[in-house]
Amino acid sequence: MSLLNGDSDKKLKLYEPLEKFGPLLSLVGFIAGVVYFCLLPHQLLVHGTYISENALLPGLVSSDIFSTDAIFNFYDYLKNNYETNGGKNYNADLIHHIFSNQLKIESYTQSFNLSYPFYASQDENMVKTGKNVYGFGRAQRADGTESIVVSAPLFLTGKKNKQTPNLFGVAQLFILADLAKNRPYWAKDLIFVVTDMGQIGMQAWINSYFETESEFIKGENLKTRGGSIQAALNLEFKDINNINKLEMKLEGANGKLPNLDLFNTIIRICKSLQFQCSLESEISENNEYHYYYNKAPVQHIPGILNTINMMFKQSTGVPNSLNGYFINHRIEALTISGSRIASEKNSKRSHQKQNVLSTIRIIESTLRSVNNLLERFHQSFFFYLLSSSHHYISIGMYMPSFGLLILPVLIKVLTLWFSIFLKKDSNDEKSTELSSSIMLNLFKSIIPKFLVSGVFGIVLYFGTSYFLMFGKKMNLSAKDALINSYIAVMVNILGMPIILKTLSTRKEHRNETSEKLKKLLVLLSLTIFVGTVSLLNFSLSFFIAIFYSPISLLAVQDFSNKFLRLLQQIALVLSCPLIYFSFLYLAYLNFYENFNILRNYDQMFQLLSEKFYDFVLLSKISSIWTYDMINLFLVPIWSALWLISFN
Amino acid sequence: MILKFLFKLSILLNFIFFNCTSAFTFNEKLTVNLLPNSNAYFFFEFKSIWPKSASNNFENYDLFPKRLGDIVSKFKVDELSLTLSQGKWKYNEWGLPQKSAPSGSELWTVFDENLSQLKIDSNWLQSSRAISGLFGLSINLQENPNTVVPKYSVVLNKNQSENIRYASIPNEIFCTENLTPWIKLLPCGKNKGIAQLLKNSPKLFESHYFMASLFFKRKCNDQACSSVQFELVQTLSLVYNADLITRQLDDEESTWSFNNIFQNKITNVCPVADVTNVLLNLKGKGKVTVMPTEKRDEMYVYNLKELLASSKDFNPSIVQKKNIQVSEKVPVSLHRYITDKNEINFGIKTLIKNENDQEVSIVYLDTIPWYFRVYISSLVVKDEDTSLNIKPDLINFVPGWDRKKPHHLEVKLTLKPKSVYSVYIRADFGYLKWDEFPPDVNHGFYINPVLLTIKSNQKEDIQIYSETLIMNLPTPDFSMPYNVICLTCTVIAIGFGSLHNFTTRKFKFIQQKNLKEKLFEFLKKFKK
Repeated sequence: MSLLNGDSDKKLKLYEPLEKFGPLLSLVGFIAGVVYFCLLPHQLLVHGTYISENALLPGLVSSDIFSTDAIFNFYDYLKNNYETNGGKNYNADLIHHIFSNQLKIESYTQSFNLSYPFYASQDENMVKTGKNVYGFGRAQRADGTESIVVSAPLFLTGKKNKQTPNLFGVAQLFILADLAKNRPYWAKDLIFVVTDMGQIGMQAWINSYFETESEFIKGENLKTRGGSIQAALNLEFKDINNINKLEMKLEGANGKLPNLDLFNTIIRICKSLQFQCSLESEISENNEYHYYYNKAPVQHIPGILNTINMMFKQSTGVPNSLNGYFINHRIEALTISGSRIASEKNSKRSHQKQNVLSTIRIIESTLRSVNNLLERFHQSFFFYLLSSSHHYISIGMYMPSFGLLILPVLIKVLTLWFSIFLKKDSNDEKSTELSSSIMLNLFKSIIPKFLVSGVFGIVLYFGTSYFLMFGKKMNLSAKDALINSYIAVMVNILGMPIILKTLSTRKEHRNETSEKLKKLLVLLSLTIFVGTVSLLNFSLSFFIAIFYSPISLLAVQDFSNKFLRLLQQIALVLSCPLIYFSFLYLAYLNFYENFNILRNYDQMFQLLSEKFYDFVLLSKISSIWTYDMINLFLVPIWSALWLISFN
Repeated sequence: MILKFLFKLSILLNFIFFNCTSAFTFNEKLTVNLLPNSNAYFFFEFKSIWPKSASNNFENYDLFPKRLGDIVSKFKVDELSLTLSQGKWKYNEWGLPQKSAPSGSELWTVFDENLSQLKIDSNWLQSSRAISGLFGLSINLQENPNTVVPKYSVVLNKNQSENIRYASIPNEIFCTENLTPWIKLLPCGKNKGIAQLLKNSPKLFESHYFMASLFFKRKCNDQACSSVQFELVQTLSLVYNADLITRQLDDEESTWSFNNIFQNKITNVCPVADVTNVLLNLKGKGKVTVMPTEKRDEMYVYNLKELLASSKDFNPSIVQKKNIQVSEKVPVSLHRYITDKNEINFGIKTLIKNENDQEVSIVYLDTIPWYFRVYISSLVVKDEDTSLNIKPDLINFVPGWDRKKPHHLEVKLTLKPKSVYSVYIRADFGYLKWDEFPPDVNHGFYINPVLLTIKSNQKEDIQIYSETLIMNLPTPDFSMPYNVICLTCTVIAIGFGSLHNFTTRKFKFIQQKNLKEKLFEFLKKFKK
């Protein structure tokens, strides 16, 4: 309480304008934040990407791949094996056989098993097993202290969990393995990894490589290793016949991103080979590719959409591809996937061979650029947003928008703080009286409310597996059990004010200061929470701030009008984290995945519960903190806001 | 005229004198081993022995290289070993080498037993500098202190003394500029004898593995050490992939000749060499065109002195089978890697696998640079099959000292037949001062390979090395000082500029004008 003894005159000088202009400043700040964010991809503010690490020298090597015969041979061989015997022949052992017997490189298999973190539904076994293959293309003349990983999942998971074999992706590994074996220029070992069960297999392999313990994935010990891994490329190609564009997936676990130089290198190489490369589902105005231009034009509206798309994917913290798990170990990794644009002149059948050749050359060239590296990736950016494949927004540019969004809450916090501790005359007697009354209130009414809110968070944090256990007893599927219990907890929170009112027998002594203190504490915890998250996962904190900043201010407002109070409470119900994030997810589906919400109204709930279950499952298995963080902090804050609004 | 005659006479006398007092012997030998997957291993060995009489101290040094002689006599060196290598010997694929070496450089020296430890330390630093100078290396043991005094490993088949100093420098890789001085130590250089194959040095660096070593030893002939003998062994190991050189695409065999690989042939022998032999180890691995002069248990021996008397050159063509086994498998294999890395610390784990059916006793030597702070309390030796902790036969740990010496760990172990043991130790990241970062590119910091000595009662001890590891230390943003310099320069330029301007300008008084005068002057301008 040193503030009370300080020269309060000076602070009063600060307080008065704050109280006077605070609301206006808040409004202006918030609007400025949104406008500034939307202006970020504009020509005025956005920057063109550039290669920061000179050693990469993208596109300067002459390719050693001259024909596509070998790749088609491998592809057909894999395809034959996949199509005969019901696809059973297409497995880790086949890949291992090709690596060790045909290509004659060091190769091993790794079995692993995944035990589900909580009671799974009846149709799923508790333990699943899989088998990875890894091989080493040792650099002939180097001492093997560094390496590059090239990985490909055996199967790709498409929409509705449909499994398609990654035949072309795996076939490319064989070509690269041959190159690694027979060329003297490699300075880093190439490690080839083919993973079973997609992301799970990748995690099993990475965990075993670094011998990090995982609760749920247990992998066999690796026989041998390469040196320290400098970068990783993950290849995902559905079909060899339909590729005229490459798409990059960057987002890693917990919103971490690979070094921007790696991405820039690939884009530069694509440009030099005149092949279309872009971000995953990048939107462009004219759908014409930028390699026709020396300098790619800035497109503002598509830029905003691309940025938001990237932020959506980043904010979940769950990587949407295998590359995401390398980033946990500070290995720069990205996924290259093949896709197709219909309205493109290269889409003719006759261009197929040319496209395949370009694809493999781009990957070869990227590997050789990384091979040139003398130091780890350390230049360029680790924190960025991409508004297009040629333009980036650095952390220095996007952070102010977050600051402006959270400014209203900060102003409110300051105003409340000053009004509690300063507005009174600095009379000693009064101040002691004041502090004692505050302390009393703190114990009587404030702490219980916060405790109750906190308990809900803890229930959600620890209770997830129990929800599923009960669900199983009641013969519910895991998906339904999870979402229903989650909704039940939310309903409990909503019903809490009534319970609290009935519990408190005597009329609560309403005190203006204690009311203010309550608001102060809630807003302060929101600011601290969002501020902390903004340093770890900017996108998540941005989406929280843009919504909870105005909502929290609305919640702490005292309305005398009954209608306004009702509106306030409706808004607070709608701001339940589950509802808000479901809404965000639906918005994402609607805008970026061509899923029409209005038309598929009936599927919506089913889809949401499914995705929610997948999300929770994967975050538990891969130790991703988004779900826990929201449960432990955002839910209690929202619950506290709800409880406060009832006084 | 007379002078010239005297000079010639002196040379003649010299020769006569030497020929009766000393017998300098020089032997050269090239062993060729065929390895799986059409790899071929060439091992050159040049051995010279010089019985040095106690009186002459490198005034007459016969064919023994004086440059080396000066170093060993000045610093009172009893034994010296230097290995330089490029690439990695693949123990699992190629078996045991004739001589093992870690990646990078390794230097160890045994000093005279009469020297004090303090004197040895200073001699070691100075001699390592002299060696660096001699071979064009940059072994900087002062700024990168890497020296340990191993107690149980390094010197083979001998009780070790305190007088040994050992250092391995993994980032000092063998290069052309080190090869030239190495070849110059040979009596015939690269002009005669089997060293002719080394003439085309770019070809040598096309190899998959390239290692040069030098071993010097001062031997006493009797107890009192009244006469000594200097022994110098220079070896060179090369591994080539014949297929990549000849560009053949045969599944069964590959055919190559010496000329293919070295782009040179042996046309004559070194006149001072007593023996010049080429040994081919073919043991069911291939065929050769030239008939050997002698067969020694399936080893083809070519005595070049005999052979080159009759034929013009020696260039055997070899047909090598591809699917062959390694002749000498490693008894113990090693795998070393970094585990459990987090922001603060990391673990270093070494798997030691006994490939034999017998018990093997080994000595494990690990030197870890001081900037990785090792905890001896975290040392765990484990049987990987049973997951039980093992009590090693002996542990010798000398903790590191910041900027002075590395952590030094020696573990004596007895490996059960076919077992896998692991040695695990944890280390913290240390902090380097910003000017202690080496000026080279920052790959990361090297962690020296483990040297494993496999003790054997009957045969010679075997030494093998593990992988070198690299680890990134917390590194400051080195571009920041640059930015600061730019900023400071700007500030100084602005500050100094205005100050300079202010102090060097001449000031004079001007009469203040009133409004009327000003207006008048203004109008005057228009008049013009």
